[in-house]
This record gives sequence, structure tokens and C-alpha cells, in this order.
Amino acid sequence: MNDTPSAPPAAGPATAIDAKSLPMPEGIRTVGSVTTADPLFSCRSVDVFYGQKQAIKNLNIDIGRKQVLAMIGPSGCGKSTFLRCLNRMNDTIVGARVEGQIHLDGRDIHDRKQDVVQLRARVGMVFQKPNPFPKSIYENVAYGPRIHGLAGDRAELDDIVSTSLRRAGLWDEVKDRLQQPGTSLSGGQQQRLCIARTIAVNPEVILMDEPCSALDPIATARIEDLIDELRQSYAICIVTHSMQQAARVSQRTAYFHLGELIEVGETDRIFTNPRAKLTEDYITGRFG
Amino acid sequence: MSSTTDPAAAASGQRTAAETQAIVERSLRRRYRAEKRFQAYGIAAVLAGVLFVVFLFGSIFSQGASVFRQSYLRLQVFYDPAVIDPAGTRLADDLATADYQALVRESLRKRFPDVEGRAALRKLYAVASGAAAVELQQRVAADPTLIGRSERVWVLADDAVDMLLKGETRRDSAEEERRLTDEQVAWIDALAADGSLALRFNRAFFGNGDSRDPEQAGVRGALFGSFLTLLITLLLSFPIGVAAAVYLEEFAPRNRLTDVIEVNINNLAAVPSIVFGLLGLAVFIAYFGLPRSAPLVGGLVLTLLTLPTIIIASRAALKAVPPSIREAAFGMGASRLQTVAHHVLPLAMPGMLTGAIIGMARALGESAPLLMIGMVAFIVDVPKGVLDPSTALPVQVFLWSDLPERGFVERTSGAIIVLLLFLLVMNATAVVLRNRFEKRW
Amino acid sequence: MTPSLLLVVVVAMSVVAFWVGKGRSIAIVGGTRGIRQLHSLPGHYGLLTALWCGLPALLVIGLWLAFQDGLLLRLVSSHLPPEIRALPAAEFGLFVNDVRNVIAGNLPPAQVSPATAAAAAEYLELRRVARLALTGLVLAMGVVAALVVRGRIHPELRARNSVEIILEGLLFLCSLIAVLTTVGIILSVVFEASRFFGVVPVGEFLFGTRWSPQMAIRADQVGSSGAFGAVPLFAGTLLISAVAMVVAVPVGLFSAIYLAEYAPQRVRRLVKPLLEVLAGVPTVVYGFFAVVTVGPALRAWGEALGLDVAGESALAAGLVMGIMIIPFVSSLADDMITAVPQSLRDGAYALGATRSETIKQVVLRAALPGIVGGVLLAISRAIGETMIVVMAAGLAANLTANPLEAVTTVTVQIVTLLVGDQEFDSPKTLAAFALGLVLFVATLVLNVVALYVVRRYREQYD
Repeated sequence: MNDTPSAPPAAGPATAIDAKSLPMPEGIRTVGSVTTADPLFSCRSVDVFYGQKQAIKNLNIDIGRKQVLAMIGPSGCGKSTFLRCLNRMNDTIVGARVEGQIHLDGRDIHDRKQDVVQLRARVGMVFQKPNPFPKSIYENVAYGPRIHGLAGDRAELDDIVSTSLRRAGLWDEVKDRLQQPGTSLSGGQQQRLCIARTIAVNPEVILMDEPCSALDPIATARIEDLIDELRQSYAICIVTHSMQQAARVSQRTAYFHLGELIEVGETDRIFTNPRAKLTEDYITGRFG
Repeated sequence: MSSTTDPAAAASGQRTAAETQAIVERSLRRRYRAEKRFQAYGIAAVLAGVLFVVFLFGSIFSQGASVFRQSYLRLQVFYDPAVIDPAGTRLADDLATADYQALVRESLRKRFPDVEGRAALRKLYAVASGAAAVELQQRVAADPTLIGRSERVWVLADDAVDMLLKGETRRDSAEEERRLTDEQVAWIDALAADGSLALRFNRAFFGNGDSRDPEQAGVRGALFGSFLTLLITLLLSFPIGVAAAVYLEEFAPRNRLTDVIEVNINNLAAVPSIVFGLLGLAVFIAYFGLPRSAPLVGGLVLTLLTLPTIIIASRAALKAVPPSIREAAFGMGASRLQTVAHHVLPLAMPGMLTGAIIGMARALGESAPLLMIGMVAFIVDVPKGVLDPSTALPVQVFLWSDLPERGFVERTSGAIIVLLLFLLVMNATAVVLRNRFEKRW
Repeated sequence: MTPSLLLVVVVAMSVVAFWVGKGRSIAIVGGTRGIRQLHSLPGHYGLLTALWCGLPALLVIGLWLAFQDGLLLRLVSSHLPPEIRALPAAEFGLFVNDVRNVIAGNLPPAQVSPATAAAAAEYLELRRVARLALTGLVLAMGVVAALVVRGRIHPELRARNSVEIILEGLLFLCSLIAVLTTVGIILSVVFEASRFFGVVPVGEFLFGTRWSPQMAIRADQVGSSGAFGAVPLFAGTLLISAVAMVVAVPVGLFSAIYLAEYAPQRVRRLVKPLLEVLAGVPTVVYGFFAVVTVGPALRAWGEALGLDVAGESALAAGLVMGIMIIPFVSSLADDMITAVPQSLRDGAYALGATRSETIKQVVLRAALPGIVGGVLLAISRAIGETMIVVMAAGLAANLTANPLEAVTTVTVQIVTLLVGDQEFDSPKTLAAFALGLVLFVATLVLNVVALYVVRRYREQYD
């Protein structure tokens, strides 16, 4: 990283720091536009440890509303770890420790008053391997609304289920077999079911951890179309191994390397004109 | 050493490949003989194991199979009003206390009118069991209109007769070596010849409690005792065991306390069962003042005994649920408890039930701790509640095995067969459950 | 109300409280359409109300059930006439027993002394009053708690979090029961054993060689002073366990090796469950088998060979115990052998080792710690086994190493000393607890060592 410019952090062009964007600590080495206007998430000095091992070092980033942020980087660079910080899924891992500030809409998600259950209702997550519950398709989608008390009666619940399945582009394929187990669907359908399940709770952010890595190209294309549509209503953070995918679906891209956020910026700019040497090496395929 | 003409090898005193091969070849026969011998040991061990199984079950079943049929005696009984109800009141109390033995005696006398003399008659009467009079009394109690009439009744024969009929007592043995005299054998043969004495389904064995007379002793009391004990055990150990497993597997932080709990459970699983009996005696009976011999105390002791088994099995079942299910639920914003209750527990339930059934099977076969808390008394009545004195099936086996009469050997084996049948059903259920619901993730 | 009826009432009250709490939470946000405004689901509010209503009440009932008897008895005995209170402990115990029998209705009051009848009547009266108070207290607690919680329900109340904390606490308590069991075992056994050691010195118990626990009933009786030297029992236990191990270890180990390394799949699938059947057979069945079949057979063979085999020889009990332990040894050994990685075997085969050489020199050597651990566990099983020896071994405490003679064991003596009616204070009864302590400590040490060895072994190949 000796070739990373040691100049003061280059804030993105014409980015007025919003009141909700937290102040930037000194001496960060990330290149590009770390902050955004009116951010949804604002993360400062985030460190993550698994036991003795530090998985993320001094990470600073803002995440905007209604846009797709793609996180790329070689395996083990900490991008999934960071994603799991955003809805505190790291809480479930024994020995994991998160330090620093992560604010969602101006409130610290590690605040003692913050209920992790409410946080996860606001920040949905789609996993690498489709993991529908071993229950019916209907029950899969209805589960979130049920536990969060989003439906007053059965009709409202039915309504939420069908709307979510429609938005996930799955309705036509499953409307006649809602009572069949979710595990009976194909891999791509299962992943869309998981997305439908997530949006049934009406979150503000959807985190996607390599959602297409277990899928074939056709299913992947459908998910990518879906992500593009969902961008109209949600902020989406997607971890991906495929640079093409990042280029296709995202507006902003963040490049991680060995637990550090090297560069972040407009997707077009990152792929055409990377400023950090490491980013350039990665996207031109010199390693990865 | 790839070349036989390697000068370096030869110079350093190493063997050539040809020499090595020759040495190996010479050793081969010895080594293959050792191989054969080793394999023979293995086969012998397996055969010994199988032989033990065959021998054990063969011995039990050959001795116990005959218990399901018992010698019954067909009597032509006249319900003499002069004997049963001389006053003619037909009051239930009077009917219950009448001398029904006299009716049996009278019937036998009529059957063998030639028998005279007190000693001979007493021998004749001994052919019928003491239970015959009880049987007649129950029939009259159920239907008082029988009085004054005559009917043919099948009543239990004495156990000595039973043993003769089943061939356990040899006819050619000397008279003084058996409990029946030649005279009695002759009567028995006469009765058997016209079908008045025959082996029929043994109602008494399944319908009666314990008794000092082999032909009247049955397993009903012990079965009910075992049932009540196991009911308490299941009701307590399953919920507590599952709750403990859920806590340790899904909630517990890794710290000293949970380590202690964990080591403790593993050790408890290997503590001899009799020690649990000592605990039950000292705590439940001596300290808390619960009654001795009660299925409640038995159930409590067996709960503590089976708890480690159930916890260990339940934890294994929870471990088998893939973490992706938990992640999915957490990702939806389900709390830990909701995740466990809605997703993990239903998936782990078959495994937990399997563990519980296996634990119950172990509890059903357990007798040592029950001896400690006094479930080893001679109890004729069938227990009606968890505080009534009772025994359990394996304890009944223990009690009967101690009795000298030949008839009780058969009863013991019979009770063992009943016990094994229950265990078979339970274990088969567990296997079916495991095969049907076990998911490979 | 009787405690059991009270339990039912408390449960019913909690059910009502659930519906009250749930209904209240829905009403407060104006019907089911409004439940989004609630922090938690309506069911959580219901559950919170029910838990607060039921749990404290159940706790009070539980405490009452645990301590009422002792408390009432103490109260009653403090009111007894002085001449009864001055009775020696044993006679006083008999008196208390009579009182208990009257209370339980086993003895009509007319058949006992007036003092007994009066004490029983006082006990019953006290119990009636106490039950009345308990009923009132429990009902009031439940109702008040439910009403308080109901009053505090509002949309921001974090009912789910509270409910989950309570339930997690309950789960934790359940997992503590295992620890409490151990503590209970240790306390009860150590307490009674220490009373025994107050009468018989520890040294005499552990190193004495004469065991005859018949105590004199009267002081002037001769020759029945009782001797509590437990060495013959330890020796007998070890002798029988040794015989069992001689049967179980070779048969179990070799059959495990054969089934794991040689047997065709078909044989393995057939024979393994067949051997495991032996593990499911209740020990009382083995005991019967030993008494009825094995014992007489050994005696007959012994006669044929000109040997004098006792009817209750250590050989018969040990042999049958060995059969019982075979599946235990073989399944543990099987686990250990299959845990040895294939790569180790491949290494040996690649050097040209035969199968048996690979097994003996590589597999068994690698699996040795695990197998040793398994054998230690098996020994602990043998030492603690009760029914087989109670039925098939003798009662006489012979100090001998000859397996053809009858010996007795620790577990046999515990059973003999404790079965039947006996008062709780005689050294005879307490001796059983001292033996129990020895048994518990011995098996515990074996288990701890064995589990440690096995765990270390498993970790090595995980």
C-alpha cells in the first residue's frame, strides 16, 4: 500500500457533508468519495476482530439511499464481514467484536437502546446460499411479517405475501403452489424467495452476500434485473466476486483489500479510472 | 537402490534391490500366516459375540415361552345356596365372605367319587389352585342369579399340575423328588384325558398382581408401576432435558460456568445408577419425606438418571440443524428465542424424541435405583396413583428370580420377555423415527 | 385447597392473564389493524402478563411443598409433652413415624397413644391453616401481578425482550439441574458417610479386612459387634470386574477391528446391530441369565473337571458382566478406529504392510489413547454394575483371588444394607452411604480420566 497516495482524504467531488454524515477521523487512507449526501449508513473507524485476528481495520464509509453499493475484493478481504456489521449479524459469531461507529439514520446501531431485532427488520439480508426455511413458500414469506406484527389479519398477510412475491418476480411461478415447501424450488427461485421474504418486512436496506454465487447464469441475470428494480425503493449493499456483476448492477463500488477499504467511488469511475494502484491491479486481473 | 549395480550403494554396505526382495519374499509366508491368524481372532470374537446373543435370548425364550399358556381345570360347579348364602339374604357382604373353597372341593369330589380318606382328599383338592375359589366368588358377585344353578367353569390349576403338564416335572422321576404323588399324577392324567385339564391362554399372568403362588402371580401390577414411573420420568426429563440442551447449545456464553455444566453432564451420564438410588433415598425420602415405594419417587430418580442421556442426544440433534437456518431467521430479524422456537426446535425434534425414547428405554430396564427407594416390596395390588406403593417390571423380575418354585422360573422368564418386547417396540420406534425424519443437510 | 389443586388454579389463572394481557395490548392501539404500533407482538404482552402472574406463585408453592413437612413437624414437636421430647433419638423416631402414619390415614387415631393422636391432630390443624394462608397468598400474588403488568402495557413496553429474558433464565435453570444433581449426590453421600465415619474410623473402613455389618441389637449380645473393613468388598469388586474385562476387552476389541477393517458391508450391517442388542438388554436380565443358566453350567463343568466351583462364583458374575460390556467396548473401539484418518493407513499400505500389520502397528497405535479411554469407561461401568452381582454374586465377604469362589462387591453390600425396612441412623445403613461414596469417587475418577483421554484423542483428528 506504499503506492497509495498519502495525500489528505480526497473527499468526493462536490460532496457537501450532511449533518447525518459523521465527521471523518484523521489519517484515513481510503481513496475516493467516502461520504455521500444524506447517507443512510455512516460508518467511522470500524474495526472488527475475530478473537485475536483483525478482520477489518479502520473502515470509513457512507452508504446512500436508493442506490446499489457493490463491494469487491479478493477472498478474505473483509467485505462480507463488513456487510454483517451493518445488521449486527456478527453478534451471532462467538468471539467477534466490532468497534467504531456505525450510524443508521443518525442512530448508533450498537447503542444499548437499539434492539437488534428492530435493526434487522430495517436492514434485511440475503445470503450466499439460498436458505429458505423448510416450510411452505407462503410461510417463508409470511414469517417476517408475523414475527414483527406487520399484519393485523389474515387478509393483510395474504396481501403482503403476494405483493412481496410479485416484486421478487416469483409470483407467476409459485402462485399455484404456495403451500409447497420452499426447498422444492430451484436454486434461482429459492434465492428470489429469500429476497421476497426479505422485502416482505419492508426494510430500508437489503444486504446481499454474494447472492448469485450458487446460481447459474440465467438465474443470475434474473436476480440482477431484480436488484435493479429494487433499487427504486431500497438501498442495496451487495458483496460480489464478479466485477462484471458489480459493473452491471451498482452505482457505487467499494474495493476492499486485506481488511482495509482501499477505494470507493462511482462505479463507472472505479472501473474506468481507478486511482489506487491496488484497485487497478485487481480490476485489470493482476491478482484476485 | 533402483539399480542392482549401484556402486555407491554397494560401497556404503546397503543391500541391493534383489537382496531386499529376497528378504521380503522369505518373510512373506510368516507375515501372511500372521495375517490369517489375526483375521481368525476377529472372526472368533464376532462369533463369540453373536453366540452370546443367541445363547442369552435362547435361554430366556426357551424358559419363558410357556408362560403364555397355563393349566386350567374345568369344573362342574354347583353354586349351592346352602354354602354361599345359607341365610338367603343375597347381601353382597355375605356373598363375598362365603366359603367358595367348599364348592371347589365338592366339585372335585364328585369328579372322583372313589377317593376317600382325609389325606387322599386333601391331595385331590391340591390339584386346583387357591385362585379357583376367588374365581367362583367373582362370578357370583357379578351375577348372583347363578346361585342354585350349576355351570362348567375353567379355573386355575395348581402350579405343580402346570409344571407336570408342561413337562417341567418329569413323570419318570422318583415320587419323592416331585411335588405330586403317583396318585395325583393319575388323577391329572384322567382329567387331561377327557379335556377337563388343558393349557389355555394365561389370563392370570396379564391380569393379576404379584402373588406367592406361581400360578396366580402376574405382571399387571409391575406393568402399571413401570408405566406410572416412566410417565413421571418422561413428563419431567423430556422438557427439562430439551430446555437444558437448548440453553447450552443456543444461548450459553462460553465461560467457566457453562464449561462446568458441560463436563458435569458428561460425567453424570457415567455415574453408576445405584448412586442415583442413594441420592433418591437420602433426598426425596429421608429429607423431603416422600413415601417409599412410590412411582413418584421412582420417576424423580429416573428423571435425574436419564437427564444426561436426553441432554446429550438433544444437543446432538440441535447441532445437526444447519447454521444457515439460524442465519436466515436472524437475518429476518427473529430474536434468538424466536429462531429456536420457530425453526431450530421443529427441525431438531425428531432427533430429540429419538433420544428421549432411548432414555426411556434405559429407564424402563433400570432396577438398581428402584431397589434403593423401596420399590422392591411384595405388592399384590395394582397401583392406582403415583403415591401408591408399587414395583416395576425389572424389579418384579428380580423379586421372582429369587423364589425357589419351578413355576417362578417360568414367570421370571415370561416377565423378561414382556420387558424385552416393550424395549423392542421402543427401540424400533426410535429407529423408525430417526430413519424417517433424519435429514442430511 | 390442596397444593395440587392450587397448581391447577395457578395455571388456569396464568392462561386468563395471557388473554387479558394480549387483549389489553390490542385494545390500546385500537384493534388488530394497529398492532404495527406495538413494540412487540400482542402474544408477547400476553405472555409477559402470564409469566408474572404464574411464576412467583409457582415458586411459592414449590418452596412450600419442599419445606412444609419439616416445618410443621418441628412446630408440632416443640409443643409435645416434655417426657416425649426427652425420649432417646431412636424411640422419638418411632413416635414421629406413628404420627406420620396417623396423618396419612394408615393408622386410626384410636389405636395410638393420646400423645400421638394429639400431635397428629395438631399437625393436621396447622396444615389446614397453612394451606388456607398459602391459597390466599398465591391467589393474591397472581391477581395483583397480572393487574400491575396489565396497567403498564403501552406500545413502547418491550414485552418481547422481557419475556425472552425470563424464558432464557428458565432455560438456564433447567441446565443447572444437572449440576444440582451432582451436588445433591455429593452432599447426600458425603453427609451420611461422615456420620458413618463418626462411628467407624476411616482407616478401619478402608483397610480393615473383616466385613460383617450385623450390629448388636442389644448391648449385651455377644459376637455381633459388627465389623466394617471394606477391603474384601473392594477385592471382590475388582475380581469380578477383572473377569468381566478379560471377557469384554478381547471380544469387544477384536470384533470392532474385524467389523471395521475386514468384514464385508453386508456382515457389518447385520452383526453390528446384533451386538448392540446386548447393550439394550436390562441388567436384571443378565443377572437372571447368570443365576439360572451360566452359574449351574459352570458348576457342572467344574465338577466334570474335578474343580469345586461355588454356586455364586465370581466367574459366573464376571463372565455375564463381560458379555454385557462387550457392545460398550466394541462400539467405543469402533468409533476410535474409524476416527483414524485413511491417510495413515494408506501410508502403511504404500510401504507394503499387510492389513494386520497396518492395523496393529498404525491404526491401533494411533487409536490407543481412545481405546484406553474406552476401556477405562468400561471398567467404571463394571465397578458400578449392580443387578448382575446382586443376583449372581454372593453375600459373604471372602478375601480371595480365586474366581471360582464366591465373593461379594460394593454394590451388592449397598443393596443388602439398604433394602428392607431399617431406621436411617444405624451404622449399618450409613455404611451403605460410605460404600456409595467410595463407588462414586472411584467411578468419577475413572470417568474424568477416560473422558479427558477420549476428548484429547478426538480433538487430535478433528
